[in-house]
Amino acid sequence: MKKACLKLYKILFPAIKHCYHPRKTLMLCVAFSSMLDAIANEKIFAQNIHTVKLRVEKSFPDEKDDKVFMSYPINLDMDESGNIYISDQYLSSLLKFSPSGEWLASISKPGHGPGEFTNQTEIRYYNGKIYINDQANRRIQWMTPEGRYLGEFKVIEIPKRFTLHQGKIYALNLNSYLHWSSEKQKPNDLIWVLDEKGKRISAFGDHLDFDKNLSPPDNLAPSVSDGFIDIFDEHVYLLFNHYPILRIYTLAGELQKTIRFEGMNYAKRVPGNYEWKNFQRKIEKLPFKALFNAFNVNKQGIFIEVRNFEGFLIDQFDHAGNFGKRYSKEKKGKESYFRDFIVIPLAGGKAKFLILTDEDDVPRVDICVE
Amino acid sequence: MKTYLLFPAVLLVAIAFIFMMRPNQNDNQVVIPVTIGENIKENANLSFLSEIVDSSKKSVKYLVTVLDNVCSSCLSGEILFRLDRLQRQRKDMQTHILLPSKYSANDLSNIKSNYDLKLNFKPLSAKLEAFIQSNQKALNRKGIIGAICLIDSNGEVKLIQLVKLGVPFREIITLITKELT
Repeated sequence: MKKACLKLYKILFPAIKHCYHPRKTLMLCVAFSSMLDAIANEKIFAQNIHTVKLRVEKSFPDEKDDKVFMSYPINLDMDESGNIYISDQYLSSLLKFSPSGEWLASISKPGHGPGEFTNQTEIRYYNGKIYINDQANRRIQWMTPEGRYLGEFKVIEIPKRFTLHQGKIYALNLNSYLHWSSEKQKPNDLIWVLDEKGKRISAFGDHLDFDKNLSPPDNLAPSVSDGFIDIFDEHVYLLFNHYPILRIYTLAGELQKTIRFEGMNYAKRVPGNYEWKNFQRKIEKLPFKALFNAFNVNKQGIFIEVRNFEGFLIDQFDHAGNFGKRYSKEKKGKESYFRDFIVIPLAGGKAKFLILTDEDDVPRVDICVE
Repeated sequence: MKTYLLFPAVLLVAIAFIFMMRPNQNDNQVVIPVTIGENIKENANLSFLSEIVDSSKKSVKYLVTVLDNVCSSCLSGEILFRLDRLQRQRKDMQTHILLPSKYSANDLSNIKSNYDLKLNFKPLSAKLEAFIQSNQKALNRKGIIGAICLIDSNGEVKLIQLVKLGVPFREIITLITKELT
């Protein structure tokens, strides 16, 4: 109740202050009603929620270690031996750590030639190779974990995310920008399946069918289909970034199930028609949180990181989309960002989490356990 | 007879003769400057290009453009997909996209098939690529991307000037013409 009152005060105070502005007042009214809705939903949800606090077992790299330097790590992956690979976008580097977090090697090759990469957005370890989403050079490149160049192919649009399965690349959003930016023609499929030479084998996945509850602001169009892709047990999982919708496809592209996460503090929609530059700012003022940062699928279920401004939250669902439990980890810094995570299943239904964060400009990986 | 006028008269005739006999470098180049500003999105549907193709007295045989990169969120992506639409409308015309050697034959094939484009992708010849690289300063990125030329059945070249181009671009057009015709 105290929290609800505080939230009401936070909303009402600026409403009174800005009531002379009709647009702002309207926006605040929408925010206010959404807030009441969210509080009601949270209240219902909070009665059943099972939150597990995560304990940090170890953090790496050590801040004092001069050999290891990270600036803007955005993505991590793990090989069969448990070695961890971290991609640093600003430094165009790739760092390798042992399972216990000891630094093993750094590959830093900014450039445009074979084996070099710049401003990479994602890395994936698959079958002894590291696949790199080389954004500046518009290509997907692969190399050995030691950094030896193995191959590449060019793409017109760099995929937002990709994953590998049975030697094929499942790439998300290889052509969304063109179609959305030009004449609003019907966009093509969201997921492209490419062979190792970059030739499209098949494609599937419709864009979101927007209705009143899911209408995107027009100028947010290029990003509405941003999301995450993962493959588990011969199924492709597609989670949208800004909308609480998860789709499950077969490898052949047949839609098996669509899960909408309702009744929780995930956003229903972002009211208004905002410009992108204002989107981030305004969403932070809203009482509900609309963004997911990362997700993992494994034998224990589906794990989704929920953007929350009070702490790091990871929600666990079973493969049918039923909520299981919520994991929470405290934020340490004033400015804390969740980048990526990996879930390692343990015996007894427990799990170990590797969480890549950036708190007060100190990037690190926390090994967390229940 | 005022013989002192003879010398300048002969000189004038000689100069005129030399000027007339000089091979005209622009014989097969008719430059049509089309100024649409630096941002192609101001005229995003490239309708002017379609109009020029349609209004051309002689049938347009080739439409050629040189791109140094193809990227969906850049001008090059817009040009590529607009040209594809034009190509679908004009089946008597061939559209060629020339790309540098960093694009392998496999990449060119992928771009065409993955995006279902009707365009012809060709690698730049070593000579042309070397020329572009040696004139990189004059031919800035926008200059290369913005240039589209039409070649009709008689080999006449029309350069559609989308953005401000460096002077050496004329030489590129000459090289392209020699390669294609």
